Amino acid sequence: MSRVAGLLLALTLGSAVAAETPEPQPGLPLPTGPVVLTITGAVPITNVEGAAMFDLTMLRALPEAVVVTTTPWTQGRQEFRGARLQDALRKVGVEAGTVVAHAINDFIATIPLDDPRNEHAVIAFEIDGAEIPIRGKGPLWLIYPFEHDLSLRTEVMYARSIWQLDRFEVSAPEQEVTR
Amino acid sequence: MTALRRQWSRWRLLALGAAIAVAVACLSLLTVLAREATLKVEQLATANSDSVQWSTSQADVELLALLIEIRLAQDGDGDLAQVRRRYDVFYGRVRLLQEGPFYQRLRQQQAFSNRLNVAAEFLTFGSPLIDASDQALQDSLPLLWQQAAALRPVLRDLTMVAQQSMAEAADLRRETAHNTLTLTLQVMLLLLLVLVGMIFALARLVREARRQTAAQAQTRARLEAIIAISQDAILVLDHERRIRDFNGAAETLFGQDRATVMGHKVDGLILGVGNSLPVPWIATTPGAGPHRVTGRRQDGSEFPAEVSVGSAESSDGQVHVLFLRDISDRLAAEMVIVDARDRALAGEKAKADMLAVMSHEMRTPLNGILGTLDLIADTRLSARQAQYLRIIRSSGELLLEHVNGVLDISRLDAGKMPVARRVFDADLLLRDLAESQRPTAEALGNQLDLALGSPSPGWVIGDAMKLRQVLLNLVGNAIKFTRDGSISISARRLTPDLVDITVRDTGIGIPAGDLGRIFDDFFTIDSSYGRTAEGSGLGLPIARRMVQAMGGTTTVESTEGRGSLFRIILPLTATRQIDATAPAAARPTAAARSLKVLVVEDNSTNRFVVSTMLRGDGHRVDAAENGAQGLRMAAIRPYDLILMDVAMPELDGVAATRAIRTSAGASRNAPIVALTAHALPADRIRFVTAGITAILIKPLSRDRLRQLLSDLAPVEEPAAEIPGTIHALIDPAQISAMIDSLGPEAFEHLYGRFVRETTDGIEQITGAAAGTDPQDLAETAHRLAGGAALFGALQLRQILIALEEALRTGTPDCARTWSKQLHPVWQATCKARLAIKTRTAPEPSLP
Repeated sequence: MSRVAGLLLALTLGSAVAAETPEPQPGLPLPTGPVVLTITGAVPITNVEGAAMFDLTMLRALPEAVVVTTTPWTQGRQEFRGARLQDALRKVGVEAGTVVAHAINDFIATIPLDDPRNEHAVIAFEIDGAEIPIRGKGPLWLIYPFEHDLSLRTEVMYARSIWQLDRFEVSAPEQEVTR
Repeated sequence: MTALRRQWSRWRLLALGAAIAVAVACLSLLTVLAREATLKVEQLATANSDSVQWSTSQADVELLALLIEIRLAQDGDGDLAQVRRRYDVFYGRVRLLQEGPFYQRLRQQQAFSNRLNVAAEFLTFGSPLIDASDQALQDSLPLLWQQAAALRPVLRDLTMVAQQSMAEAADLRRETAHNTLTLTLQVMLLLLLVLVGMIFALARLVREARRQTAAQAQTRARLEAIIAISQDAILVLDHERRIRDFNGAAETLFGQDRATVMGHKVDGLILGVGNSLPVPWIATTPGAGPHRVTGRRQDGSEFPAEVSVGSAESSDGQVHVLFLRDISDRLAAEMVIVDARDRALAGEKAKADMLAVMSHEMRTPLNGILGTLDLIADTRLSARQAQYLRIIRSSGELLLEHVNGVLDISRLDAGKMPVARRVFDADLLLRDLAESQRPTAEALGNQLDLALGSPSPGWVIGDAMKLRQVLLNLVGNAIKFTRDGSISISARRLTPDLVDITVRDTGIGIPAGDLGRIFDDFFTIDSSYGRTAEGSGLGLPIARRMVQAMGGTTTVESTEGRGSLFRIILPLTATRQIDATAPAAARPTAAARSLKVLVVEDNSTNRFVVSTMLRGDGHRVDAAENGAQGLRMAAIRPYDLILMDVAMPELDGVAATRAIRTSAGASRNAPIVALTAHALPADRIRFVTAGITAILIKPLSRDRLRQLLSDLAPVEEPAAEIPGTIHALIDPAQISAMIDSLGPEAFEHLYGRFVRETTDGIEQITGAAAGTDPQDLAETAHRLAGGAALFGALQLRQILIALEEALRTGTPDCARTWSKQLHPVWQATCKARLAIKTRTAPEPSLP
């Protein structure tokens, strides 16, 4: 029950962050469409005060990545299209440390940036050529090519494969995964 | 013992193998189990049930969040975008529960899927409201809240169902994990047991090995002790014959230190017999019996030795173990024994030789005495003188008989008495014998019967002379020991090859104790009239030896005072009767015509006796005292017969004969008869090749001399040969005489040569070129005539003589006439000879 209480707290916090108004910052263009991803914390390059905000156009501007795989949560094999996690983080000058990914449903997952498996991670915004609605685990889904490697088919990686992704919080020290 | 041990060790090996197999199996099973256990533990550690539970309960949480947003929006504090967002999140959650493969098992439970369907129905109801315009949504918020609130207990139940199901699954997983772990533990326990067992087995093996090592050490120590104290020298060699061990006895025997010879080749120490190649036998005959070798000591001296070689496989390859023994002493002892035996044998032989020589030497003067007695008997005598003469004569003959007996024994013992194989009528022989012995038997009041069984022996092939001798001895013996009784001779044929002859008497018999000795030489029974029955004691031994020589057996049965029975069983093969013109069995008479005879004899007595006998029969006799004189006389006068003593000083009879034959003397073609006391087969061949026509064994008697002369001088006049007179093709008597003289084998040999030489010679004469010297052809004809005479080819000889005459006198027409006849006559001669070859002419009767 304490777990549920914690989640409720996180949910309220998440709402507060999402409510902040974006401000333009040099080095990273301002989002023109609705913001789909916010990177906060130890972010060297920002486009608003203390954060980097991305709309779909900005994500599409990054090198395109495609993952074709099945997942434990969906039926059948699907084609996921998006940007590499590492490309997105490099765009805002993040190379090391820990990233805590937050979902709209207040799910969080901790991703240590020194994990070599991160190179497979893709921030997907299309499934089978269509944008992903929130009801279908969108608009962003951090996906791994689970079929590609046995080391990816673990509980830890399943937990990191966060859907309804809307925010990364970057920090130098590592954090325990809390659910 | 070793077999048992081997079996044991094999069994142990098997057990060890099985244990190792079990251990390996346990280990692989353990590996599998460990992997499974690890997996199970991992599953327990990172169970996905966690996320499943979280997802189901999260559905309730997210519904609650939606409810809060709806209430806030109803109260005017919230905004509809947040309502929509929360709705979408809840929607995604329910979709996940509906579609996610993780929830497959849960969905299969009715309680879960029913409740999930209720949630889905809510979405079906809610989505049009949420997707409607803000105003419409604002208006339908109470309705949405009511429906969402109604869904809450359903979702709680859903969570509980999932919780319970997951708990059960966890229990199941725990149980399988438990089971796996238990099994792992059991397998580990089994492995432990196997390992403990193997440790025990290994401990046993170690103990056993230690025990065996100890036993081997003991054996080795014992062997070393045996080698060390062995009386025999023991050498161990490797395959290159290098010395690997050398015991104390070997050190003593060879005078070498062990340390000096170790590792060196053995070749200098042991030599083959007669210093042949060094020890080749090691390579060739290991394990064979003792070999004779020569050992060499350090100082170079040698000793005879005996060596046994054994081979064995060792860790360094094959080794040879030599057991060597000095046999000098044994050889010396053997030498002494052999020497003693040789001396004894030599003494025995010297004695026998002396006996034979003495007998022989005695025979010559005896012949003189008996011959002279014959001459005296022909003179006019008073009745008293005639009686004295008879006494002298019978004593002389008895003496001669004894001497002959001793000679016979020596010759039989020396194997110098060949056994003849001729066709004769055994029935006739038996009848003649019985007839001749009857007067003697009757003189002692004995009756003598002959019973020829059915079948009787009949015509046989064998040695008639020896058979007669044997029977004479047996019958004579029977007569000697029987007074006023009866002697029965019976003979019958047992098989086509065997004849059974018995001589039974009713005499004094032989004491049982003497039965085994009666065939011993010089054995006489000391009986009441033993002395009166004269005898040398050689009759029975001679009889038995002769029977033995003929391949037969002699047995005797006797009861003292009742009589004796001698039985001989002889191999006398039955044959068909030959109607040969056998020489008359009647006593030979003087030759039909007077002959010119040359007697060559160095012994004056013999010369006198023979000459007188011949002259008494009306022949003209010249006498020569030695070979040289005989040769001279033969050259001058043509004789009808030359009697030639063989043993003469200077020119002996054989040499003289050869000289006469090769001379151009008047008597070169005369028959020459050798006189000799003994003639071995080898001598006979020598005689005949020298040109001797026949052989007469001394002593000569008047009967035998007459027989010889009548054989040589038939009624016709051979000296007065008239060309054209056709002689008989061949003379069987001459062939018989040759066979008698030579023995069948030597005869056949010489005959073969004669045939070849004659064929070649005739070819030479008839095929001679026109200009050939007639004298050469005459020589050839002469030579061939000599051979023809020797082998009784009468007609051929006649033609050859006529041819020679014609060639020498230079009458070629006449020579051509004769030479034309050579071929046909020679072929006919060969055929005739073949015809009589199949049967042998009956033996001329000799005493």
